[in-house]
Amino acid sequence: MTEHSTKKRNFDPRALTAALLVIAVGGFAVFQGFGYRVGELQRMGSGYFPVLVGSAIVLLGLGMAALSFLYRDEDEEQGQGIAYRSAIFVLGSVVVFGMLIDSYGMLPAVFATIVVAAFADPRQRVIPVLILAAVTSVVSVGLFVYALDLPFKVFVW
Amino acid sequence: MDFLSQIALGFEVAFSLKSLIFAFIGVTLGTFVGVLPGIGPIATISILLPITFHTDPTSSIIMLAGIYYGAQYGGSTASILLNLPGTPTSVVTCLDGYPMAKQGRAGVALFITTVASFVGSMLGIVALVGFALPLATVALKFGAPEYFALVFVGLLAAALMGSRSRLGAVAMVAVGVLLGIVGTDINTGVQRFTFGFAELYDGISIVAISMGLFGIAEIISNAGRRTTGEFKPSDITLRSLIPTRDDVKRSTGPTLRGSAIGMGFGVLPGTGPAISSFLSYALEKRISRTPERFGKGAVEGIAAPEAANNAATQAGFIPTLTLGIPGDVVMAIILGALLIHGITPGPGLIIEHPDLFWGVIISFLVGNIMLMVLNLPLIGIWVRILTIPYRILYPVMIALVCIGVYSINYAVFDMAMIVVFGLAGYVMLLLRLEPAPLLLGFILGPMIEENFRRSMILFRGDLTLFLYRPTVVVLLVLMLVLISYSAYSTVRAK
Repeated sequence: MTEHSTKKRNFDPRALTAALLVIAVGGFAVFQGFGYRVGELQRMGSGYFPVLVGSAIVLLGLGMAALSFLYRDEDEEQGQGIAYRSAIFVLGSVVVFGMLIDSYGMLPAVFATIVVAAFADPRQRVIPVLILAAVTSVVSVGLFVYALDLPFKVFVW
Repeated sequence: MDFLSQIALGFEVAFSLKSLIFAFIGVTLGTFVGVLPGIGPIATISILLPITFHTDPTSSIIMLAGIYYGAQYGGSTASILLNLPGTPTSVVTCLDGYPMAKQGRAGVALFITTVASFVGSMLGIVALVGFALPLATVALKFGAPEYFALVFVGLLAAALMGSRSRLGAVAMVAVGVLLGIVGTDINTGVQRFTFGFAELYDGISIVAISMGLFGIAEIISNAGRRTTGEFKPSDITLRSLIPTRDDVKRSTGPTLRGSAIGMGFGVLPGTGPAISSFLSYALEKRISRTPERFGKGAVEGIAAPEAANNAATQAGFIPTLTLGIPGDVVMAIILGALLIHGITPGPGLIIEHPDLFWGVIISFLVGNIMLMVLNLPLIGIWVRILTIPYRILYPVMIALVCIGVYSINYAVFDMAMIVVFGLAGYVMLLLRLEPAPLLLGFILGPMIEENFRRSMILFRGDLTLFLYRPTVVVLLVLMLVLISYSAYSTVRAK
């Protein structure tokens, strides 16, 4: 929304990074697409469409790269920095769920997910987190396994 | 069967006890997840999807749709009280809703948004009833070239409207299209972009990708930063809801214009509630005699977008039910639910399953009346939910996302997909690349490729034959207008 941002003539490194990423994705698609049979417009092979879309992405990325040298889009989120801690523990909590759900069941998986996720916020305290984990895991089992009858394993040991 | 008897059939189905119960469950759940920032209709519908296998298709769709439009009502509550959109479609409502709450007018804001939502929904339903049958009749004659053009224009419109970087948004649509074709190529049986993972043969799970890009990415950026807003739930009394005569006068026009925008953009596949709400806000600000009031608690600024997103939500069922083209993730999941019950969405639906089609539409009427009751006299209950602090909310949200995604395929692989797309979504957030157009491309990608390939076989590889199709030409002209308008406004803004 142009109304909520002011544009200044400036180089924007963030936009250039985005553009390069987009070009890389498009280039990869073109490269992979040629690995499948491309065929011709009348009888397209599996590779035709990926090559077509990939090329479009590369072109759009080049356009974005060019614009990144001209304009800088200022917004209120600027300078927020990368939330490493939160990224590690939020994604980690999903990984933990995936590792536990099949072999140990829903109760331990949900409990562990909540505990790991809690580390993302440094302001959390131990006892409330453990209570939250216990309540959430028990309520999830009650709701999803017993009330809604979803075929989850509850607890395997 | 004539029009009136079809409507009568709809009333009969929608007012059966079973339909009423499912509609009530749907809208109540929808309001609940709409009010809570972070848990949206997508996660909720995914969790409930497996349960709908045990009931009939009409009741399933009535409930799933209820969650969807119910969430549009609830979404504005958190926008107003906490300056946090409950759903992506009520982002704009924060701009004037939160200042109103700070001025002690939260009650009025909640009242106006609910009434605007109701009016928008009702007009959206009128559009749905009016356009569904004629459109389905026309669409029966649609071939691959028409479908291709329709989806292509819809995608482009979605990318060009209401986004910060138009080039970036179009690029994201294209990346989404690529992700959408991951899996087995239905024409040749070749595995594309699967890299040896058998789990990818059926494509990437739509729920895993949307939960990763939106849900998880959002949590990463907010955990540890966001705190609960300062408001007293006891301030929201029934008396505080009553607007002044001036409020009513100021919000009437914006509500009607917002509804019109929502109806228009809801019909086009791809341009859904979020875009309509942005555009209607921009329109009100532009035509207002006092644009400086916007952003400081102008009633117009909450009435217009809320009417628009609800009208678009209801009108969005037009392409979904009559053409089989889903406009967003929720619509795609609802279409999936129909397919599971052995019903093919498309122009034939209205003729083959009139009871389902009209029953679902009339249930929207019932559901919206239920929502008025849920959101006005009972607003105090929903407001209290918002006092839950974010540090308690976000771990529970992650657990719900995991349970929801896992319950679809019972595959640990989908957890890996959430991690991959959660990370990708966070990187995109940092680089200001928008996830919404990507997801839309993902949903409509296979449809674009399939219809493009069929068209080319039909035309023997001659692209110019597209120009001999009147519907296609109309759509192409629309596209050119869109592109030139967006190029013009970009240049003027700079």
